[in-house]
Amino acid sequence: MSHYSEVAIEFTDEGCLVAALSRLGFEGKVEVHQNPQTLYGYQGDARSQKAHIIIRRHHVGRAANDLGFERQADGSYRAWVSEYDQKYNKYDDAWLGRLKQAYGIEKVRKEAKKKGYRVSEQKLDDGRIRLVCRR
Amino acid sequence: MQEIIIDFDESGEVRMEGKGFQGKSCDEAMGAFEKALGVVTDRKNKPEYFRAEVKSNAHQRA
Repeated sequence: MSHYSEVAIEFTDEGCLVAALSRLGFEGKVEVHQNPQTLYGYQGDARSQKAHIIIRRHHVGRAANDLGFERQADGSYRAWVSEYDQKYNKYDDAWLGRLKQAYGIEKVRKEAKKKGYRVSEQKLDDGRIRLVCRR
Repeated sequence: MQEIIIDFDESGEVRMEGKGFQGKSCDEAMGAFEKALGVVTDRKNKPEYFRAEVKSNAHQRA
C-alpha cells in the first residue's frame, strides 16, 4: 500500500445526484431543470427557495414540502430540505449521509469507467459499501 | 495490477487506499477520484512511497 486519503463529498454532478436519489427510492420522481424553479410548501405556497433538481412534495411524504438541490455559482449543489421534513419525514442528516454514499458510488463508477478501471461493489456488515477499482 | 479501494460509510464519509502503484503515479491515479468526489480532508503516504522515491533519486545521481 502506498497512499491513503479521506474525502468529504460535494455534490457537483447532476447525473450522479439524480442517480443517487433514484437509488434511495425516487426513481422517476426527480425533476431536473436548466434554470432554478420555485419550491412549494405543503399548502401549495411558493417558498423563497429555488432549485435545479426537485422532488415534489407528494413524493416526499405526509404534509411534506418540496425537496430541492440548488446549483451554486461554484458548481456545487446545496440541499433545501424543510425543518419539518428533516424532523417528521426522516430527511435528516442520516438521510443526507446515505445520499452522499449513493452519490459517491455513482461518481466513482463514472470516473473509473473513464479511466479504464474494472469496478466491483461489496456491501460490508457495518453498512459501508466498498468499491474496488482495478486495472 | 493497480488497485484503488474506496469505502463509503452511511454518513457519507469516504476512505480511499491505493495499492500496487510506483511512487507518484498513486497520487495521480487517486487524485482523479478525490477531485471527482469533493475535498480531501486527510492524506497520508505509506512508507513504501518514500522508499520508492529515495531509491529512484539515488539511481539518478549514480
